[in-house]
Amino acid sequence: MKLVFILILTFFLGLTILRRINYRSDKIEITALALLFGIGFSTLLIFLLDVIGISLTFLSVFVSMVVVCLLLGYPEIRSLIANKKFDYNLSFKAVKKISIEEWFFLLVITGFFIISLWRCYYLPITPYDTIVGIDLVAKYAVEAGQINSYMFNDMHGLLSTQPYYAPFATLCQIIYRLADLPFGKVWLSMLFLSFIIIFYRKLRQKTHPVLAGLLTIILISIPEFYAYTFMVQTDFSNAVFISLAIIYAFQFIKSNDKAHFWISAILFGFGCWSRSETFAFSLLAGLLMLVFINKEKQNKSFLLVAYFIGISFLFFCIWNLYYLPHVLDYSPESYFKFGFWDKKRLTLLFNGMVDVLFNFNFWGYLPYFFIGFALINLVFFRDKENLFLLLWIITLFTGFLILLYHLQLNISANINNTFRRGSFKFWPIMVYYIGTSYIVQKVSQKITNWLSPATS
Amino acid sequence: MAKKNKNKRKPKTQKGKRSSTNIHKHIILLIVSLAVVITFYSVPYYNFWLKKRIFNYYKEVSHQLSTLNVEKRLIERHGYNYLIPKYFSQNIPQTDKILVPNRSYIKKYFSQQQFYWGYPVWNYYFFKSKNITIFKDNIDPSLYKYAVICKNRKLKIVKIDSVDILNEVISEYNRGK
Repeated sequence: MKLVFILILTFFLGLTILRRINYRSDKIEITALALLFGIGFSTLLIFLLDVIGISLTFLSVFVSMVVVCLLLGYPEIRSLIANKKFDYNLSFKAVKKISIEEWFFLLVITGFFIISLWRCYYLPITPYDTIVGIDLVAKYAVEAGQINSYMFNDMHGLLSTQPYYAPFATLCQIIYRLADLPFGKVWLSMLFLSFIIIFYRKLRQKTHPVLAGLLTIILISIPEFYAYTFMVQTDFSNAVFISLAIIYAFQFIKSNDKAHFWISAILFGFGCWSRSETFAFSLLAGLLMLVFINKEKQNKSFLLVAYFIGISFLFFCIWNLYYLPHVLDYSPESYFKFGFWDKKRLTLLFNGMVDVLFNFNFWGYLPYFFIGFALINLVFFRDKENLFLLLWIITLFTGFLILLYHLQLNISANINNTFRRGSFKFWPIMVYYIGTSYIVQKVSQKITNWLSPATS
Repeated sequence: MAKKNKNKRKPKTQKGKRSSTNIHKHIILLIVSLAVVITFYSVPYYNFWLKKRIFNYYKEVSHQLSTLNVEKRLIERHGYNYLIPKYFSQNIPQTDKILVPNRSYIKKYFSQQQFYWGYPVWNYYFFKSKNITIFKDNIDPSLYKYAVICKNRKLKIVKIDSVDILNEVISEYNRGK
């Protein structure tokens, strides 16, 4: 029952924020995005409760979520009282429009989701890093009613870096453990659900539902990617936030609709809230956006990019520059070293990263598909429509290379763990790139034309 | 107003007509989609994943539904990594310190996955135990009341009540290096 309350409030929290951003889209996407935003903002909310000294209990989380929903949703509530009509109507029109072939794909995707949800609920926390980090902090925060629990004293001198990871996953674990789930975790399934819905809807806006469905299945069928939909770690949630942020940024560049920009900036912020080093990528994403934003609005584009980076910086600062040193009394040891040149190290890293990206056991054929589509798209069709996405993938790779070059930890662990899981951010964008490529667009057009009444 | 409603209804009828005349095309598209998805999962790589993972996950559900007890789920998932910390917490008082061998020693006698039980933070996570210490060269072993060693591929908890036993434990640990 507590879980139901949390899920409903999470949805309404996200919905009210989307309303304040004034984002309009189809209701299925809005519903999924509201859930995703709700998950993100609910972690911010309980973090705030902890900072101001309110004990973390189910009641305090529940009441604070209700209060924030009421405050943010005030205009809707006023309109509801005045017109007796709630301005959110998830009608079944969208469902009626779904064709038989689209149902087939949705059924397959649902099959993958259900088993992921079940495993997420049923299986205890498994990864070592999560047990001695994310969930260790969460479990004792629930017992003590605060993030800075007695666990930090009891285990003083024995903890490694894991308990001090960016807080998103830990805070989610706290909320879902407070909802009486023995292992928390179900938030991960909600994140996965909202991700596949948004990803599918975004593809569907560009291509025929059959192609959108097929591409979504190809993405879910990446074994390594799918496995992390029910294993709590920081990387999958980070990939969800960052890839969706880039898709919304791409839409902002194409449409100039500010709401897309704010959604992208907030999602990127949550990316930094889920993994701290993401802040470095926000700088790269900001610069890339600057190149692509409408030239006529060049003056404003600097301001927008400053907002974009600023939001990420804020998320980064709250945890790394305030909470860690001042509340947990932990100064993140810098494993970075700058200002040196080591060609051997760079070559080793580059080759290792390429090997990981093209590792057949992890990702199957997807990297090869992507390279094939990108080459055909650029060489034969000279299609620059989705160049932003392609450049983002190259930028992300270069960003990782620079980051890992300066990170003075075991180089093979850097490649095989940090980069392998960090590369989750590549795959949704690669699939989205394929979906928006010239060839797929042409096939999509052909299917639509063939189905249109004129040809029947 | 009534006229307006009539006009509104018109496109709906056209839409309905369109979908009814196109139904055979949608069925063709469904068959093609089905064929594409089957072909996709016939590729050995995806076929292997689908059978070994997804279908197996579904097969496990009926067993899992009959094992909803949280304790049993933890045992099934973590095995000795859960059972040994549980044994420590239930049988050795928190005031008595336990010395456990280091990772390389445990890995020598246990499977590759079952070596976490000796980690202090791991023990704390499950049972709030604070009395576990991993053996290092520079610690004072005389502070410990119990030690864990492996004898004849079996785990043994030794009570340290003499210098001889202590020396035996240390030499055993050094053997595993």
